Amino acid sequence: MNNSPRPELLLHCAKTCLEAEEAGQIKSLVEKDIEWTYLVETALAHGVMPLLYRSLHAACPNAVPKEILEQLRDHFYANAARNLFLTKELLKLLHLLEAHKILAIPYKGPILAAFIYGNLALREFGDLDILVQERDYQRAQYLLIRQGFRPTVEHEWEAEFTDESGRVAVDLHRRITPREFPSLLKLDYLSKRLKPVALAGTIVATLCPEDTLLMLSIQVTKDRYLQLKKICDIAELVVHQRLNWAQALKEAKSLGGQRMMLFALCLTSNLLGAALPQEVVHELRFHTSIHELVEHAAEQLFHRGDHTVHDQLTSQRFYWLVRERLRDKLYPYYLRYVHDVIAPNELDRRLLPLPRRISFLYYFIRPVRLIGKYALLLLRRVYDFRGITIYRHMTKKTVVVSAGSEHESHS
Amino acid sequence: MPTLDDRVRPHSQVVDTKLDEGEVVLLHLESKMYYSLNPTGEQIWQGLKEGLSLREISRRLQEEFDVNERNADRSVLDLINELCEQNLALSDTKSS
Repeated sequence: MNNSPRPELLLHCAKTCLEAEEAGQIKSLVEKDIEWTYLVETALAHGVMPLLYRSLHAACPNAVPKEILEQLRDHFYANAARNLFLTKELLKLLHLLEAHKILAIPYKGPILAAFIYGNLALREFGDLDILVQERDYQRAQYLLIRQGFRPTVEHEWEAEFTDESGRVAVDLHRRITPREFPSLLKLDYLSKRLKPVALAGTIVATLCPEDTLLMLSIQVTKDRYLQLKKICDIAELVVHQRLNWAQALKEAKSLGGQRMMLFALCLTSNLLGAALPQEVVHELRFHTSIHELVEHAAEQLFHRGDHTVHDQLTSQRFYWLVRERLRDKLYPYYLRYVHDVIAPNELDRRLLPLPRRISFLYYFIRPVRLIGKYALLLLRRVYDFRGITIYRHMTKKTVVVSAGSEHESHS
Repeated sequence: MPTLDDRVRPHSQVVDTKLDEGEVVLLHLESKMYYSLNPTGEQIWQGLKEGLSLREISRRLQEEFDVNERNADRSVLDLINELCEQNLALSDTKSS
Protein backbone atom coordinates (compact mmCIF):
# COMPACT_ATOMS: atom_id res chain seq x y z
CA MET A 1 0.00 0.00 0.00
CA ASN A 2 1.19 3.48 -0.83
CA ASN A 3 1.69 5.57 2.29
CA SER A 4 2.24 8.94 0.69
CA PRO A 5 0.93 11.92 2.64
CA ARG A 6 -2.30 13.71 1.76
CA PRO A 7 -1.36 16.14 -1.03
CA GLU A 8 -2.52 19.38 0.58
CA LEU A 9 -1.32 21.48 -2.35
CA LEU A 10 -3.47 19.48 -4.76
CA LEU A 11 -6.51 19.80 -2.51
CA HIS A 12 -6.07 23.58 -2.35
CA CYS A 13 -5.72 23.75 -6.14
CA ALA A 14 -8.68 21.49 -6.96
CA LYS A 15 -11.28 24.22 -7.33
CA THR A 16 -12.32 26.77 -9.92
CA CYS A 17 -12.72 29.81 -7.63
CA LEU A 18 -9.63 30.77 -5.69
CA GLU A 19 -10.12 33.29 -2.90
CA ALA A 20 -7.14 35.51 -2.04
CA GLU A 21 -6.57 33.53 1.15
CA GLU A 22 -6.51 30.24 -0.74
CA ALA A 23 -4.11 31.65 -3.34
CA GLY A 24 -1.83 32.71 -0.46
CA GLN A 25 -1.94 29.21 1.01
CA ILE A 26 -1.04 27.71 -2.37
CA LYS A 27 1.88 30.09 -2.67
CA SER A 28 3.23 29.25 0.77
CA LEU A 29 2.84 25.49 0.12
CA VAL A 30 4.70 25.79 -3.19
CA GLU A 31 7.58 27.48 -1.41
CA LYS A 32 8.00 24.36 0.75
CA ASP A 33 9.71 21.23 -0.47
CA ILE A 34 7.18 19.90 -3.01
CA GLU A 35 7.56 16.49 -4.66
CA TRP A 36 6.49 17.72 -8.07
CA THR A 37 6.52 14.33 -9.78
CA TYR A 38 4.26 12.86 -7.10
CA LEU A 39 1.97 15.88 -7.32
CA VAL A 40 1.58 15.62 -11.10
CA GLU A 41 1.12 11.83 -10.99
CA THR A 42 -1.55 12.19 -8.31
CA ALA A 43 -3.33 14.96 -10.22
CA LEU A 44 -3.27 12.79 -13.33
CA ALA A 45 -4.62 9.74 -11.50
CA HIS A 46 -7.37 11.84 -9.92
CA GLY A 47 -8.37 13.68 -13.11
CA VAL A 48 -7.65 17.16 -11.79
CA MET A 49 -4.74 18.28 -13.97
CA PRO A 50 -6.66 21.25 -15.47
CA LEU A 51 -7.53 22.59 -12.03
CA LEU A 52 -3.97 22.11 -10.78
CA TYR A 53 -2.57 24.06 -13.74
CA ARG A 54 -5.16 26.80 -13.50
CA SER A 55 -4.68 27.37 -9.77
CA LEU A 56 -0.88 27.27 -9.87
CA HIS A 57 -0.85 29.56 -12.88
CA ALA A 58 -3.16 32.00 -11.12
CA ALA A 59 -1.55 31.90 -7.66
CA CYS A 60 2.20 31.68 -8.23
CA PRO A 61 3.37 30.84 -11.78
CA ASN A 62 6.94 31.97 -11.08
CA ALA A 63 7.34 29.73 -8.05
CA VAL A 64 6.57 26.54 -10.01
CA PRO A 65 9.46 24.83 -11.84
CA LYS A 66 9.28 25.89 -15.48
CA GLU A 67 9.20 22.35 -16.92
CA ILE A 68 6.35 21.36 -14.55
CA LEU A 69 4.27 24.39 -15.48
CA GLU A 70 4.87 23.66 -19.19
CA GLN A 71 3.86 20.03 -18.71
CA LEU A 72 0.66 21.11 -16.96
CA ARG A 73 0.00 23.75 -19.59
CA ASP A 74 0.38 21.28 -22.47
CA HIS A 75 -2.01 18.91 -20.77
CA PHE A 76 -4.43 21.79 -20.15
CA TYR A 77 -4.62 22.74 -23.84
CA ALA A 78 -4.78 19.13 -25.03
CA ASN A 79 -7.60 18.44 -22.58
CA ALA A 80 -9.50 21.52 -23.77
CA ALA A 81 -9.19 20.41 -27.40
CA ARG A 82 -10.17 16.84 -26.60
CA ASN A 83 -13.19 17.97 -24.58
CA LEU A 84 -14.24 20.21 -27.45
CA PHE A 85 -13.96 17.30 -29.86
CA LEU A 86 -15.93 14.94 -27.60
CA THR A 87 -18.59 17.59 -27.00
CA LYS A 88 -19.15 17.96 -30.73
CA GLU A 89 -19.39 14.16 -31.00
CA LEU A 90 -21.94 14.14 -28.18
CA LEU A 91 -24.04 16.77 -29.95
CA LYS A 92 -23.92 14.72 -33.15
CA LEU A 93 -25.17 11.64 -31.30
CA LEU A 94 -27.93 13.61 -29.59
CA HIS A 95 -29.08 14.90 -32.98
CA LEU A 96 -29.04 11.37 -34.35
CA LEU A 97 -31.15 10.04 -31.48
CA GLU A 98 -33.49 13.00 -31.67
CA ALA A 99 -33.96 12.42 -35.41
CA HIS A 100 -35.15 8.91 -34.52
CA LYS A 101 -37.49 10.29 -31.86
CA ILE A 102 -35.48 8.88 -28.97
CA LEU A 103 -35.45 10.98 -25.83
CA ALA A 104 -31.79 11.03 -24.81
CA ILE A 105 -30.34 12.87 -21.84
CA PRO A 106 -26.60 13.57 -21.66
CA TYR A 107 -25.06 13.79 -18.21
CA LYS A 108 -21.58 13.72 -16.61
CA GLY A 109 -18.61 14.49 -18.93
CA PRO A 110 -19.15 17.61 -21.05
CA ILE A 111 -22.37 18.47 -19.25
CA LEU A 112 -20.65 18.73 -15.88
CA ALA A 113 -17.80 20.75 -17.40
CA ALA A 114 -20.19 23.26 -18.99
CA PHE A 115 -22.95 23.23 -16.39
CA ILE A 116 -20.99 23.09 -13.13
CA TYR A 117 -17.45 24.22 -13.93
CA GLY A 118 -18.63 26.84 -16.41
CA ASN A 119 -15.83 25.96 -18.85
CA LEU A 120 -15.29 22.87 -20.99
CA ALA A 121 -11.55 23.05 -20.38
CA LEU A 122 -11.65 22.66 -16.61
CA ARG A 123 -12.81 19.08 -16.20
CA GLU A 124 -11.34 15.86 -17.56
CA PHE A 125 -13.60 13.19 -18.98
CA GLY A 126 -13.06 10.05 -20.98
CA ASP A 127 -16.46 9.03 -22.28
CA LEU A 128 -19.90 10.33 -23.13
CA ASP A 129 -22.80 9.23 -20.94
CA ILE A 130 -26.25 9.19 -22.47
CA LEU A 131 -29.42 8.05 -20.72
CA VAL A 132 -32.37 6.74 -22.74
CA GLN A 133 -35.70 5.21 -21.82
CA GLU A 134 -35.88 1.46 -21.30
CA ARG A 135 -38.11 1.07 -24.35
CA ASP A 136 -35.57 2.87 -26.61
CA TYR A 137 -32.47 1.14 -25.25
CA GLN A 138 -32.14 -1.56 -27.92
CA ARG A 139 -32.95 0.84 -30.75
CA ALA A 140 -30.38 3.37 -29.50
CA GLN A 141 -27.75 0.60 -29.40
CA TYR A 142 -28.62 -0.34 -32.94
CA LEU A 143 -28.27 3.29 -34.08
CA LEU A 144 -24.85 3.56 -32.46
CA ILE A 145 -23.69 0.37 -34.16
CA ARG A 146 -25.01 1.67 -37.49
CA GLN A 147 -22.92 4.83 -36.91
CA GLY A 148 -19.80 2.67 -36.70
CA PHE A 149 -19.63 2.23 -32.92
CA ARG A 150 -18.48 -1.12 -31.59
CA PRO A 151 -19.94 -2.57 -28.38
CA THR A 152 -17.17 -3.26 -25.89
CA VAL A 153 -18.70 -4.07 -22.50
CA GLU A 154 -22.31 -4.63 -21.47
CA HIS A 155 -23.66 -4.33 -17.94
CA GLU A 156 -27.27 -4.74 -16.90
CA TRP A 157 -27.70 -0.96 -16.61
CA GLU A 158 -25.48 0.29 -19.49
CA ALA A 159 -23.67 -0.71 -22.66
CA GLU A 160 -20.26 0.70 -23.57
CA PHE A 161 -19.27 1.52 -27.15
CA THR A 162 -16.16 2.81 -28.91
CA ASP A 163 -16.05 4.35 -32.36
CA GLU A 164 -13.85 3.03 -35.16
CA SER A 165 -11.04 5.48 -34.45
CA GLY A 166 -10.99 4.57 -30.75
CA ARG A 167 -11.28 8.25 -29.88
CA VAL A 168 -14.91 8.32 -28.79
CA ALA A 169 -16.24 6.11 -26.01
CA VAL A 170 -19.97 6.17 -25.27
CA ASP A 171 -21.76 4.74 -22.25
CA LEU A 172 -25.38 4.23 -23.22
CA HIS A 173 -27.53 3.88 -20.09
CA ARG A 174 -30.99 2.58 -19.51
CA ARG A 175 -30.45 3.36 -15.84
CA ILE A 176 -27.90 5.62 -14.22
CA THR A 177 -26.75 3.03 -11.72
CA PRO A 178 -26.50 -0.74 -11.21
CA ARG A 179 -29.52 -2.46 -9.72
CA GLU A 180 -28.27 -2.27 -6.14
CA PHE A 181 -28.59 1.52 -6.23
CA PRO A 182 -31.81 3.58 -6.33
CA SER A 183 -33.89 1.78 -8.91
CA LEU A 184 -36.01 4.77 -9.79
CA LEU A 185 -33.12 6.63 -11.38
CA LYS A 186 -34.54 6.01 -14.84
CA LEU A 187 -35.33 8.57 -17.44
CA ASP A 188 -39.10 8.29 -16.91
CA TYR A 189 -38.57 9.49 -13.35
CA LEU A 190 -35.86 12.08 -14.01
CA SER A 191 -37.42 13.60 -17.14
CA LYS A 192 -40.09 15.38 -15.11
CA ARG A 193 -37.59 18.02 -13.99
CA LEU A 194 -34.85 18.32 -16.59
CA LYS A 195 -32.90 21.54 -16.91
CA PRO A 196 -31.75 23.20 -20.17
CA VAL A 197 -28.03 24.01 -20.34
CA ALA A 198 -25.86 25.63 -23.03
CA LEU A 199 -23.33 23.22 -24.48
CA ALA A 200 -20.97 24.49 -27.19
CA GLY A 201 -23.60 26.86 -28.55
CA THR A 202 -26.47 24.35 -28.36
CA ILE A 203 -29.14 24.04 -25.69
CA VAL A 204 -29.54 20.53 -24.32
CA ALA A 205 -31.64 19.16 -21.48
CA THR A 206 -29.92 17.46 -18.58
CA LEU A 207 -30.57 16.48 -14.96
CA CYS A 208 -31.63 19.28 -12.63
CA PRO A 209 -29.11 20.29 -9.92
CA GLU A 210 -30.84 18.20 -7.23
CA ASP A 211 -30.81 15.04 -9.36
CA THR A 212 -27.24 15.81 -10.45
CA LEU A 213 -26.25 15.94 -6.77
CA LEU A 214 -27.87 12.56 -6.11
CA MET A 215 -26.23 11.06 -9.21
CA LEU A 216 -22.81 12.42 -8.18
CA SER A 217 -23.29 11.23 -4.60
CA ILE A 218 -23.98 7.71 -5.85
CA GLN A 219 -20.87 7.88 -8.06
CA VAL A 220 -18.75 8.93 -5.09
CA THR A 221 -20.19 6.12 -2.96
CA LYS A 222 -20.11 3.29 -5.48
CA ASP A 223 -16.65 3.77 -6.97
CA ARG A 224 -14.15 1.43 -5.44
CA TYR A 225 -11.31 3.65 -6.61
CA LEU A 226 -12.60 7.12 -6.07
CA GLN A 227 -11.10 10.03 -7.99
CA LEU A 228 -10.76 13.50 -6.49
CA LYS A 229 -12.38 14.81 -9.69
CA LYS A 230 -15.73 13.40 -8.57
CA ILE A 231 -15.50 15.17 -5.24
CA CYS A 232 -14.63 18.38 -7.09
CA ASP A 233 -17.84 17.90 -9.12
CA ILE A 234 -19.88 18.03 -5.94
CA ALA A 235 -17.95 21.01 -4.56
CA GLU A 236 -18.43 22.96 -7.80
CA LEU A 237 -22.12 22.05 -7.95
CA VAL A 238 -22.67 23.28 -4.40
CA VAL A 239 -20.77 26.51 -5.04
CA HIS A 240 -22.17 27.39 -8.48
CA GLN A 241 -25.75 26.11 -8.50
CA ARG A 242 -28.66 27.16 -6.38
CA LEU A 243 -30.05 23.95 -4.97
CA ASN A 244 -33.35 23.37 -3.25
CA TRP A 245 -31.77 21.49 -0.37
CA ALA A 246 -35.02 20.44 1.29
CA GLN A 247 -36.17 18.92 -2.01
CA ALA A 248 -32.79 17.29 -2.72
CA LEU A 249 -32.70 15.61 0.71
CA LYS A 250 -36.35 14.56 0.53
CA GLU A 251 -36.03 13.03 -2.95
CA ALA A 252 -32.84 11.25 -1.94
CA LYS A 253 -34.56 9.85 1.14
CA SER A 254 -37.52 8.59 -0.88
CA LEU A 255 -35.07 6.71 -3.12
CA GLY A 256 -33.01 5.36 -0.23
CA GLY A 257 -30.05 7.53 -1.15
CA GLN A 258 -30.01 10.21 1.53
CA ARG A 259 -27.13 8.76 3.51
CA MET A 260 -25.09 8.50 0.31
CA MET A 261 -25.82 12.16 -0.37
CA LEU A 262 -24.85 13.17 3.18
CA PHE A 263 -21.70 11.06 2.95
CA ALA A 264 -20.67 12.65 -0.37
CA LEU A 265 -21.32 16.19 0.88
CA CYS A 266 -19.50 15.59 4.14
CA LEU A 267 -16.51 14.11 2.28
CA THR A 268 -16.45 17.13 -0.04
CA SER A 269 -16.43 19.43 2.94
CA ASN A 270 -13.67 17.42 4.64
CA LEU A 271 -11.36 17.41 1.61
CA LEU A 272 -12.11 20.67 -0.18
CA GLY A 273 -13.53 22.80 2.59
CA ALA A 274 -16.91 23.24 0.86
CA ALA A 275 -19.41 24.94 3.19
CA LEU A 276 -22.43 22.75 3.96
CA PRO A 277 -25.91 24.31 4.06
CA GLN A 278 -27.88 24.37 7.28
CA GLU A 279 -30.31 21.66 6.10
CA VAL A 280 -27.44 19.23 5.55
CA VAL A 281 -25.75 20.09 8.86
CA HIS A 282 -29.09 19.51 10.61
CA GLU A 283 -29.64 16.15 8.92
CA LEU A 284 -26.10 14.99 9.71
CA ARG A 285 -26.94 15.14 13.43
CA PHE A 286 -29.12 12.06 12.90
CA HIS A 287 -26.42 10.18 10.98
CA THR A 288 -23.35 10.41 13.18
CA SER A 289 -21.76 7.23 11.78
CA ILE A 290 -21.25 9.05 8.47
CA HIS A 291 -18.37 10.99 9.99
CA GLU A 292 -16.49 7.74 10.57
CA LEU A 293 -17.04 6.75 6.92
CA VAL A 294 -15.88 10.15 5.75
CA GLU A 295 -12.69 9.94 7.80
CA HIS A 296 -12.01 6.52 6.35
CA ALA A 297 -12.73 7.57 2.75
CA ALA A 298 -10.62 10.72 3.05
CA GLU A 299 -7.78 8.58 4.40
CA GLN A 300 -8.17 6.00 1.62
CA LEU A 301 -8.48 8.46 -1.26
CA PHE A 302 -4.75 8.80 -1.81
CA HIS A 303 -3.85 5.31 -0.48
CA ARG A 304 -5.06 2.78 -2.97
CA GLY A 305 -5.24 -0.69 -1.42
CA ASP A 306 -5.17 -3.95 -3.31
CA HIS A 307 -7.88 -6.60 -3.36
CA THR A 308 -7.08 -8.13 0.00
CA VAL A 309 -9.62 -9.84 2.23
CA HIS A 310 -9.27 -7.01 4.69
CA ASP A 311 -10.09 -4.52 1.97
CA GLN A 312 -13.18 -6.51 0.94
CA LEU A 313 -14.41 -6.68 4.52
CA THR A 314 -13.93 -2.95 4.89
CA SER A 315 -15.98 -2.24 1.83
CA GLN A 316 -18.78 -4.58 3.04
CA ARG A 317 -18.93 -2.66 6.28
CA PHE A 318 -18.81 0.59 4.36
CA TYR A 319 -21.88 -0.37 2.28
CA TRP A 320 -23.70 -1.56 5.37
CA LEU A 321 -23.21 1.83 7.01
CA VAL A 322 -23.74 4.07 3.98
CA ARG A 323 -27.07 2.55 2.93
CA GLU A 324 -30.19 3.32 4.94
CA ARG A 325 -32.78 0.66 4.02
CA LEU A 326 -32.29 -2.91 5.20
CA ARG A 327 -32.86 -4.34 1.71
CA ASP A 328 -30.19 -2.00 0.30
CA LYS A 329 -27.76 -2.97 3.04
CA LEU A 330 -28.31 -6.65 2.31
CA TYR A 331 -28.62 -6.65 -1.46
CA PRO A 332 -25.12 -5.80 -2.78
CA TYR A 333 -23.30 -8.43 -0.74
CA TYR A 334 -25.84 -11.05 0.24
CA LEU A 335 -29.20 -11.05 -1.54
CA ARG A 336 -27.53 -10.34 -4.87
CA TYR A 337 -25.67 -13.65 -4.72
CA VAL A 338 -28.84 -15.48 -3.65
CA HIS A 339 -30.64 -13.82 -6.55
CA ASP A 340 -27.86 -14.81 -8.96
CA VAL A 341 -28.13 -18.46 -7.86
CA ILE A 342 -31.94 -18.66 -8.03
CA ALA A 343 -32.87 -16.47 -11.01
CA PRO A 344 -32.81 -18.22 -14.42
CA ASN A 345 -30.36 -16.78 -16.93
CA GLU A 346 -29.56 -16.98 -20.64
CA LEU A 347 -27.88 -20.40 -20.32
CA ASP A 348 -31.07 -21.90 -18.85
CA ARG A 349 -33.11 -20.39 -21.68
CA ARG A 350 -30.67 -21.67 -24.27
CA LEU A 351 -30.73 -25.18 -22.82
CA LEU A 352 -34.48 -25.47 -23.28
CA PRO A 353 -36.34 -22.69 -25.11
CA LEU A 354 -39.83 -22.40 -23.58
CA PRO A 355 -42.82 -20.25 -24.52
CA ARG A 356 -43.27 -17.20 -22.34
CA ARG A 357 -46.45 -18.45 -20.66
CA ILE A 358 -44.64 -21.43 -19.09
CA SER A 359 -41.33 -19.64 -18.50
CA PHE A 360 -41.83 -20.09 -14.72
CA LEU A 361 -40.57 -23.66 -15.33
CA TYR A 362 -37.06 -22.23 -15.66
CA TYR A 363 -37.05 -21.94 -11.86
CA PHE A 364 -37.22 -25.75 -11.76
CA ILE A 365 -34.91 -26.33 -14.72
CA ARG A 366 -32.16 -24.12 -13.30
CA PRO A 367 -31.43 -26.17 -10.13
CA VAL A 368 -31.36 -29.36 -12.25
CA ARG A 369 -28.92 -27.74 -14.70
CA LEU A 370 -26.70 -26.44 -11.91
CA ILE A 371 -26.64 -29.80 -10.10
CA GLY A 372 -25.72 -31.47 -13.42
CA LYS A 373 -23.04 -28.88 -14.12
CA TYR A 374 -21.35 -29.12 -10.73
CA ALA A 375 -21.63 -32.93 -10.66
CA LEU A 376 -19.84 -33.01 -14.02
CA LEU A 377 -17.16 -30.67 -12.72
CA LEU A 378 -16.67 -32.89 -9.69
CA LEU A 379 -16.38 -36.00 -11.83
CA ARG A 380 -13.81 -34.34 -14.07
CA ARG A 381 -11.81 -33.25 -11.06
CA VAL A 382 -11.78 -36.82 -9.74
CA TYR A 383 -10.79 -38.42 -13.04
CA ASP A 384 -8.62 -35.73 -14.53
CA PHE A 385 -5.62 -35.05 -12.33
CA ARG A 386 -4.61 -32.14 -14.48
CA GLY A 387 -7.67 -30.28 -13.21
CA ILE A 388 -9.55 -27.65 -15.09
CA THR A 389 -8.39 -24.17 -15.83
CA ILE A 390 -11.05 -21.59 -16.25
CA TYR A 391 -10.01 -18.64 -18.31
CA ARG A 392 -11.99 -15.58 -17.52
CA HIS A 393 -12.09 -13.44 -20.59
CA MET A 394 -12.23 -9.75 -19.87
CA THR A 395 -12.72 -6.92 -22.32
CA LYS A 396 -10.89 -3.77 -21.52
CA LYS A 397 -12.09 -0.47 -22.85
CA THR A 398 -9.38 1.47 -24.64
CA VAL A 399 -9.68 5.19 -25.08
CA VAL A 400 -7.18 7.17 -27.08
CA VAL A 401 -6.30 10.12 -24.93
CA SER A 402 -5.10 12.66 -27.44
CA ALA A 403 -7.49 14.32 -29.86
CA GLY A 404 -4.87 16.49 -31.53
CA SER A 405 -1.26 16.09 -32.34
CA GLU A 406 -0.08 19.57 -33.02
CA HIS A 407 -0.12 22.54 -30.75
CA GLU A 408 0.82 25.99 -31.89
CA SER A 409 0.65 29.22 -30.01
CA HIS A 410 0.27 32.65 -31.46
CA SER A 411 1.93 35.38 -29.47
CA MET B 1 -3.05 36.73 -49.39
CA PRO B 2 -5.96 38.61 -47.75
CA THR B 3 -5.92 42.41 -47.46
CA LEU B 4 -7.42 44.63 -44.77
CA ASP B 5 -10.60 45.13 -46.79
CA ASP B 6 -11.26 41.42 -47.11
CA ARG B 7 -13.60 39.38 -45.02
CA VAL B 8 -12.25 36.12 -43.72
CA ARG B 9 -14.46 33.58 -42.00
CA PRO B 10 -13.68 30.67 -39.69
CA HIS B 11 -13.60 27.27 -41.39
CA SER B 12 -16.87 25.43 -40.81
CA GLN B 13 -14.98 22.45 -39.35
CA VAL B 14 -13.27 24.53 -36.68
CA VAL B 15 -14.69 24.73 -33.17
CA ASP B 16 -13.39 26.75 -30.27
CA THR B 17 -13.55 27.01 -26.51
CA LYS B 18 -12.49 29.96 -24.41
CA LEU B 19 -10.01 29.51 -21.62
CA ASP B 20 -9.08 31.83 -18.80
CA GLU B 21 -7.49 35.21 -19.35
CA GLY B 22 -8.90 35.59 -22.83
CA GLU B 23 -7.15 32.64 -24.42
CA VAL B 24 -8.96 30.34 -26.82
CA VAL B 25 -8.34 26.81 -28.10
CA LEU B 26 -9.26 26.05 -31.73
CA LEU B 27 -9.81 22.50 -32.88
CA HIS B 28 -10.03 21.45 -36.52
CA LEU B 29 -12.51 18.58 -36.49
CA GLU B 30 -11.17 17.01 -39.70
CA SER B 31 -7.44 17.13 -39.02
CA LYS B 32 -7.94 16.75 -35.23
CA MET B 33 -5.22 19.35 -34.71
CA TYR B 34 -5.62 22.01 -32.12
CA TYR B 35 -4.13 25.48 -31.68
CA SER B 36 -4.21 28.05 -28.94
CA LEU B 37 -4.55 31.78 -29.38
CA ASN B 38 -3.50 34.40 -26.86
CA PRO B 39 -5.89 37.26 -25.88
CA THR B 40 -4.97 39.35 -28.96
CA GLY B 41 -5.46 36.33 -31.20
CA GLU B 42 -8.75 35.62 -29.46
CA GLN B 43 -9.97 39.16 -30.25
CA ILE B 44 -9.11 38.66 -33.91
CA TRP B 45 -10.80 35.26 -33.98
CA GLN B 46 -13.90 36.71 -32.31
CA GLY B 47 -13.99 39.43 -34.99
CA LEU B 48 -13.91 36.77 -37.72
CA LYS B 49 -16.78 34.95 -36.06
CA GLU B 50 -18.77 38.18 -35.98
CA GLY B 51 -18.15 38.70 -39.71
CA LEU B 52 -16.10 41.90 -39.35
CA SER B 53 -13.66 42.98 -42.05
CA LEU B 54 -9.97 42.79 -41.19
CA ARG B 55 -9.80 46.59 -41.02
CA GLU B 56 -12.66 46.63 -38.51
CA ILE B 57 -10.90 43.99 -36.45
CA SER B 58 -7.70 46.04 -36.48
CA ARG B 59 -9.61 49.12 -35.36
CA ARG B 60 -11.09 47.14 -32.48
CA LEU B 61 -7.61 45.99 -31.44
CA GLN B 62 -6.41 49.60 -31.37
CA GLU B 63 -9.28 50.49 -29.05
CA GLU B 64 -8.73 47.50 -26.75
CA PHE B 65 -4.94 47.40 -26.57
CA ASP B 66 -2.20 50.01 -26.46
CA VAL B 67 -1.12 49.50 -30.06
CA ASN B 68 -0.73 51.87 -33.04
CA GLU B 69 -2.53 51.38 -36.36
CA ARG B 70 0.49 50.01 -38.21
CA ASN B 71 1.25 47.34 -35.62
CA ALA B 72 -2.40 46.40 -35.23
CA ASP B 73 -2.82 45.99 -39.01
CA ARG B 74 0.32 43.87 -39.19
CA SER B 75 -0.78 41.67 -36.25
CA VAL B 76 -4.15 41.06 -37.85
CA LEU B 77 -2.71 40.21 -41.27
CA ASP B 78 0.02 37.98 -39.79
CA LEU B 79 -2.44 35.93 -37.78
CA ILE B 80 -4.99 35.75 -40.60
CA ASN B 81 -2.32 34.41 -42.94
CA GLU B 82 -1.38 31.76 -40.40
CA LEU B 83 -5.03 30.82 -39.83
CA CYS B 84 -5.59 30.49 -43.59
CA GLU B 85 -2.40 28.47 -44.02
CA GLN B 86 -3.55 26.04 -41.33
CA ASN B 87 -6.99 25.85 -42.94
CA LEU B 88 -8.62 27.31 -39.84
CA ALA B 89 -10.08 30.26 -41.75
CA LEU B 90 -11.08 30.95 -45.35
CA SER B 91 -10.87 34.21 -47.27
CA ASP B 92 -14.16 35.08 -48.96
CA THR B 93 -12.23 36.79 -51.76
CA LYS B 94 -10.23 33.65 -52.40
CA SER B 95 -13.18 31.28 -52.29
CA SER B 96 -15.52 33.33 -54.53
